[in-house]
Amino acid sequence: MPLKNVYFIPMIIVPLVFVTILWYGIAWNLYLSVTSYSVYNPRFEFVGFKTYEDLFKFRGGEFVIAIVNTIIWAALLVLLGNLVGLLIATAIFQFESSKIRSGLISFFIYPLAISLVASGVIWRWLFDSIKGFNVYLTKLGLSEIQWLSGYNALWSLIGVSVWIYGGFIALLYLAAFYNIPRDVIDSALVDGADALTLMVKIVIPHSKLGLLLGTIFSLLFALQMFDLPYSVLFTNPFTMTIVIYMYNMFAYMIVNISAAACIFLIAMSAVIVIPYATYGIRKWILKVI
Amino acid sequence: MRGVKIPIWVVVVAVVVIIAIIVAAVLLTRPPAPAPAPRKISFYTWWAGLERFAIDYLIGNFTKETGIPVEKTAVPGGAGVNAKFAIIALIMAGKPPEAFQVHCGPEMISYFMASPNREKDFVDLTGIGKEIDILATPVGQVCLLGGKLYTIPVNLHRANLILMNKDILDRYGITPPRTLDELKAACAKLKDTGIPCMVQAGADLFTVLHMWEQIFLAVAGPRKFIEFMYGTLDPNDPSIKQATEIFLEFAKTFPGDWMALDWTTAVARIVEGKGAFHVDGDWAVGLIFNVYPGVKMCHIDAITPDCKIIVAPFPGTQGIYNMVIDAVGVPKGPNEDLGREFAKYFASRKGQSIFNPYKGSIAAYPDLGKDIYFIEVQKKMVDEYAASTAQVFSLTHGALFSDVWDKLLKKAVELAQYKEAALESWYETIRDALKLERTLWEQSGLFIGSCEKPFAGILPPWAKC
Repeated sequence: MPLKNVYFIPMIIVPLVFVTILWYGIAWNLYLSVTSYSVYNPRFEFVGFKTYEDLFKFRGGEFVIAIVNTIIWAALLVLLGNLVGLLIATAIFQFESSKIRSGLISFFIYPLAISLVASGVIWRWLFDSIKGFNVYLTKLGLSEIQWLSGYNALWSLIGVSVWIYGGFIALLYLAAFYNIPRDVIDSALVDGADALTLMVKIVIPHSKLGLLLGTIFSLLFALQMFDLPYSVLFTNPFTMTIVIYMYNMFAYMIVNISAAACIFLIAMSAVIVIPYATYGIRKWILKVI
Repeated sequence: MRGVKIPIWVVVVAVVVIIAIIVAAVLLTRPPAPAPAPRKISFYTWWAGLERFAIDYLIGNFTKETGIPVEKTAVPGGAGVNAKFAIIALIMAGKPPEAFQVHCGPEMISYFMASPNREKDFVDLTGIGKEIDILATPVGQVCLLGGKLYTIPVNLHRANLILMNKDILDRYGITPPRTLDELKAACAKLKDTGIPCMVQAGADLFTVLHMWEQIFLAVAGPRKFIEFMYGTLDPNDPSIKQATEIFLEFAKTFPGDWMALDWTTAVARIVEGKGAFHVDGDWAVGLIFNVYPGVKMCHIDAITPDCKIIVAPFPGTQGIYNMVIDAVGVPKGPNEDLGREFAKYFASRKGQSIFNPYKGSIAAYPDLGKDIYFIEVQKKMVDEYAASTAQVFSLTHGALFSDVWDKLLKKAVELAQYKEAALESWYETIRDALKLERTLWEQSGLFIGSCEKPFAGILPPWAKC
């Protein structure tokens, strides 16, 4: 019998139930996505992959815009999130006192502690030209920036998401930094390495777990992006993400298209995140590739 | 295979867990036996902001008179976009809320479409409507769907209003505009002053389409406006192009950061003198009354020297009442008698005169008198409603099916952003919207009003009379 220890049988049952519920939901979505069930044809007629075809044509291809926006968001959040996270972590790592370090990390991680909706409202005000940044820009004699006008809104909100998640990614890097054997750092210091050399040559190359986790989390956060754009700009076409599109279609009872978008998103997450995570773990952590 | 000894407690725990799961699953999937009905009303509503004073006041009075407590379940999301599915799921589970908030018009049809037994899952309130005279009012008539009242109206809002900052108008010698041409001329005068002429809000989207709607009403008139609602309007009707061109002219005068504003901040800009005009419904009047107590509002026909904000019908739409109507729906269920009672009280003369002064809307009964209202502008609206020669149903606020509405909402924002470059796609969206509206109406087989008295005398071709 392959089972090593029967004591774990009860422990597996409860999580199994919850995961089964999740899979049931996915299966139900999959079923809906191959039917015609929507306000335009409220019957469970089997139409196969026609819904997926419609998904890309419906409303003049709005879904394609949502995919493009989401991919841009994911790419920039991975890039800038890791960059900002790495910079913050590096800066914090220079402090010897653990009190200062933990104080600083709490400071930077704080945006994550606020609900995304609250962040959204705060930032909408900051992008306003009477209360926000533009007041200072005009005082400095610079011209106003229309932060939320057209596609500027997408760039601005991506910036906000970096502000929200940057501290969290810094935490991941910092955890990786602390895992570097102290003697490696000490011997480098004995050899006369300065702080910059130490970081670039020793610490950062040893922190691939930080990069791996930072990237996976940024990708997942970006693929699920809903609260932030919704609270700042409602269902604005310029900041439409896949999840907002899905919500829209569901709320307006185009249920089959919404379900198809959902399955698409699940597939997309699986295709991007799972291979990347497996590859990263094998290459950098287990070092088997 | 070597036998594995499984300790007895592991087996017991596993069996207990499995049984518990099966029992839970059975209980969840089987409708529960009807429990003794608690004498309590659960009311689903999206009124949670300033409106909650009005609804709390009404509920307080209802409970005092009937002894029946009412519990509000606030589900945010105007027009019930989020509450709808919760309500329908509860209907399916045999435990619907006793009453819920809904707009009069096609919104209720989307509830029918999603419910397992369509209309039959909802209480026909026609009898109550007759009993309390609400069906004798134009508002009551407009809430009929194919001759039946499923949504009983509790108030009447007006969508075709414009707010003006009087100081700005005085400073630049602008007479408060009453026609579209005068409004255009006013904007032309303000062009080089740095003051945005029209302040509409992009962040919550709706005031942009709202402005297009009022312009369309002014150029097309009520009949074509209603045909737009049914989707029977010819998509090449010149009024669509004309309205769009005027819309673009005004969109060019929006403040640079219009996308960062929501409707309340847009109103604030007008109050603070950082913009001249704002097109909105009478809820904006309610907002100013509640949030800026020192700011005096006056009607365009009764301008006083101390007046700060002039409120007027949107230029070119005088005599037309562009209606937004809040209503109560009652799902069928074990406690539907309580729901009926609540709906009847809320929609009655008494209920409406308690609710409306605080809500900023007016009562649906034209004969109710003006003394109950606190705001002069509200009193004026009562006169204008009674004197109105035509009533229409606001496209932005309930007259369109939600998918069609959403499409127009977004495209209007794109149009205001990209101006001429987005014109083609805007016209295409309108063509599409009209087609879909018609499809959905035809599919429902319903229409507004009754066979004997269709709304505005317009009987769409799919009406079976």
